[in-house]
Amino acid sequence: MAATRPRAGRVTRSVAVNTLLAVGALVMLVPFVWMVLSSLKGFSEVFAYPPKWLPHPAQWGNYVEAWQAVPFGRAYFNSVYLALVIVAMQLLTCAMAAYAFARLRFRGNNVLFLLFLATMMVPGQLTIIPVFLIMSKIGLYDSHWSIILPHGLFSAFGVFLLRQFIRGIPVELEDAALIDGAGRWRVFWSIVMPLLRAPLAALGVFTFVSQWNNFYGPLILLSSPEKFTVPVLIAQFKGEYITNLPLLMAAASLAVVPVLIIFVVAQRHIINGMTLTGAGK
Amino acid sequence: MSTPVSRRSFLIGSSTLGLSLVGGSLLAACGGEDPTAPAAAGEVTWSLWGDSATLKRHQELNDRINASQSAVKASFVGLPTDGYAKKITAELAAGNAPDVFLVGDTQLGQLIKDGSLAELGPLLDGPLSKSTTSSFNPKLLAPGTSGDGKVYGVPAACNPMIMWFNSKVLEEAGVTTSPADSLTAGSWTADYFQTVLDKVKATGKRAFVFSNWNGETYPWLTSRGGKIFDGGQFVAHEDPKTIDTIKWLRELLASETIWYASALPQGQGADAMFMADQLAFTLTGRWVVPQYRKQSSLRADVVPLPSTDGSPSSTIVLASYLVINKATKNVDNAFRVFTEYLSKDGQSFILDGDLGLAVPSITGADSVVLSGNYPAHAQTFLDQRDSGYSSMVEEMRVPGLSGLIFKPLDKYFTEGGDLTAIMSDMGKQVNAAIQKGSV
Amino acid sequence: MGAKAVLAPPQPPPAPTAPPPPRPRRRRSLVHARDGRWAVVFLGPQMVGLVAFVLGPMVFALYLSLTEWGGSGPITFVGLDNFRDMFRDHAFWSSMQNTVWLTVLVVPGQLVSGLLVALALHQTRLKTLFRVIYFMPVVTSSVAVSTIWIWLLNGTFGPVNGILREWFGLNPPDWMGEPRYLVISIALVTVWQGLGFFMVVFLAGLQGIPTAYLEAAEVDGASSFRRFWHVTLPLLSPTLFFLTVMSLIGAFQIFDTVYMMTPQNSYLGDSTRTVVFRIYDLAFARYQFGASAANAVVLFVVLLVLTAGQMLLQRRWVHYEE
Repeated sequence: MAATRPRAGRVTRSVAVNTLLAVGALVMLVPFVWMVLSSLKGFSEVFAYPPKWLPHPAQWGNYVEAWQAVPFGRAYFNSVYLALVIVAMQLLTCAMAAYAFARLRFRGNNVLFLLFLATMMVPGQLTIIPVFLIMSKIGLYDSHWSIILPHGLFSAFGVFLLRQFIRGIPVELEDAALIDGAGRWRVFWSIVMPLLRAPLAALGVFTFVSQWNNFYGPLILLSSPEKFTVPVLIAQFKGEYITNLPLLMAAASLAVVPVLIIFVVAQRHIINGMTLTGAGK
Repeated sequence: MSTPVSRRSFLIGSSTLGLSLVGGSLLAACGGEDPTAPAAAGEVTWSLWGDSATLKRHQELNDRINASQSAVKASFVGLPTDGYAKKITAELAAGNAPDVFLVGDTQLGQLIKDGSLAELGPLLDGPLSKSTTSSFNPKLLAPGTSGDGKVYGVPAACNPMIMWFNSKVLEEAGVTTSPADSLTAGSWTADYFQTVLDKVKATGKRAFVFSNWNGETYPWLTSRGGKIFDGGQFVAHEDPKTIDTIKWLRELLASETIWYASALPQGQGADAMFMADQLAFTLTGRWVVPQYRKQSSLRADVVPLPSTDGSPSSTIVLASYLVINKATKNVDNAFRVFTEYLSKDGQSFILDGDLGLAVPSITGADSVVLSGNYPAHAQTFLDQRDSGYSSMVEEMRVPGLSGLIFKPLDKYFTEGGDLTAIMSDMGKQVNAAIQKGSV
Repeated sequence: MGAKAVLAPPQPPPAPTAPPPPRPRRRRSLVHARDGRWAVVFLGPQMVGLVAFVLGPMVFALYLSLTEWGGSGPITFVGLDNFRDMFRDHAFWSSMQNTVWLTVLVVPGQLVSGLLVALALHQTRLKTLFRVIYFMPVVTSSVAVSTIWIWLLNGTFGPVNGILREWFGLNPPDWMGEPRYLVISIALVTVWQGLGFFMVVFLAGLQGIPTAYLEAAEVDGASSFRRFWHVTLPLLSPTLFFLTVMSLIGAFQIFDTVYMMTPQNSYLGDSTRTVVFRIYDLAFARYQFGASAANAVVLFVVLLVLTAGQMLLQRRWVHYEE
């Protein structure tokens, strides 16, 4: 289709695009390469002057040490479990709320939505102590639920994102079904939700990642070491005066890999979801 | 399909729920008491910060404490260094802070002001105590003592800041007498030190890394007779010796005789450079012992900073303070754990050889510093602990005061400028803040 | 960027069931009859979360802003003193300035880079590979990211300057050591870390553009730039609006990178400490929770005004398919 452009032009264009992407990819990757290389250095090698890139010899033992120094396995489990539960809760509650804002007519729709948006402007530093107080009072101190509930039940960001997407969907499909007698919930669940696969996947990925990296919340709200998540654990490699850079980098590498794997795997689903809803419209 | 709950009553319901939660927590924050706290009689929680190895060792001490007596059941909660103070603050506000915990410089001052800590004096000199008030260097008790003389926090493990020197680098620079020997001979003076610096510079290396914070700037100033605070007032801006020393440091930086720490990533790296034989000196505490010992190629030893007349200078002794939460269920039980940590056995165990991160704050456990004979002049740590001074009480009482001092100095060290004007401005601002009680 | 399409859009596909359209008034009342009650059901969970975990703390913060509190002792009521002191404090205005400057650097950076990468990714066959690579920074913890970049950008020891000196013969500035460059470095790291996120959302938006429109435009002879400007961009505008608001709010609240990359007690901080950092610093380093809350209230109001402004402006440039 649309092969009105000469062949050579398309090839040049494709090469140009891929080259630019590759250069950009390098900029993305180099810091990670540095991270892994540093993780393999000995403590005093890190500050060699002039700087050296390659460790000599490679201290693979750093990874073993990092893994053994803190309970990584347990922390991984905690991080994954927390993130997944929050994502599940968020996707559902945000889609519901977004649908209400986008389609339902009720008094205070716009004002309430503005209020939602407004909450995104509340600095997290400020709410952490009151939330902590509340959690202590209702007995959820040191429980994973103290982290799940605030994020799972509320996300202005998620609501905002999904509302925008829903508004971009033509409303005729739903109106027709409603006139035919279908209830709102059915319309929401059977007609709108399937069309939201792409943004839901994007939101899910983003939420998972931000929950994975959430540091201050778990730090303040949890106190039993077996409940700690990965970022809290990595922070333990930062000493008061000395930071053992290679160990910290090894720990950081260990933290990145599983999430990347999940992302790569989940990506397939995102692609599938997108191809089903996207071009076919 | 109709819904059983009307919109109005739903909104009212959820608002009430939310507001009552807030209201309840407000009241609790005001009252400071938590009736739902779970601790049973005899249970004591204690916390401090550290890296993974340190925390493991403390957990072992905890188990030891539990094994050796049955009056209390101690549970240790080890926390990461990052965010520790924040967490303690949050826990105190909610009423579930540990019974015994470690506090840093600025937080101690605030907690004393707030009245959140239990008085320690009578406990320390009482029957349960394993280390009385007299086992501490009295100068180090100052930060933990309130205006009316009551003790609320005592130093738990301290670190005098002294100079490590790299024998290999010095010998290559042509300095054949080790600084420690110079000190014994009485020739470890400021003038002599300058010649050493010049010799090191001639080999193409820089002598040391200077980092502008109270742990390093102050020892340099005091080693040359400079004063910073006196009688509760900031006097550095009027003290000629202090001003001269600051100028001298700036000259060293400008002439590239030494590194400025901000040139290094995150201000860290002095230790690694030292271990890689890139520096002749490094000003640091005892926490580097494990790292340095592991580096077999490193030949290092310690010496106090050079003074004007060659006598051993006194230095700042950094410390963190152990306190008891005033809201603890049973002060005696909490104190049992407290004093175990500060006992000779406790301190010896925590600071034992391999970890070797600090110097005991009490007398009587000194062997832990000397055993293993590393560094050769380890006795210097003990001497300096006994002759040193604590962090400035004025800075601890007014959180943020340090910024007023070190930020302008940082600019001066980086860019130069009119030192007299800088110091005079600094003096005005610092004294005003001390007067006001806040920055 | 006008909302009018240059070309007439093709007919939308017919609805699956095609009943005769009833008269408008009847239709509206049928469709929206019970909206009020449904709103309760659909909004319920988020409302509980909103009130309990956000509004509640906000009310508490508002109350705190009128008090003096050290975090663990008594709470003293001081009225509007905190606000008065804040507006008189030179450091507050300086932090506002820093925040604005950082925002000016970050928002366009994030939007433009995210869009460019999404567009490029949309046209390449190596989508999966590149998508993973560009998303890696988003997935990494801020502690690690900041630590790495502090190293890379170090003026003396960092590889970036090393390469600039050796390969390009330049005399680069100290990215981490000079006030005006430190801000740029922080902005750079923020853009670098967030790029993947913007890319993902833009991609989702691009996927939603019916190829029918683009193909029609191509058939009509429009160049790729015109196709982009007059078809893609308007159809992408809801996504763009969303991301602009997010970026603006996020930029105003950048904390992690500022905190990690600004050395403590350094005069460099005068150029990088943002309002959010000040909020944190007042509370957790200086134990002035009341003043901290007052700063937060002001920040909140500023953002509210900015976002409300954005929402009003959206009528002029955002094109919804309704």
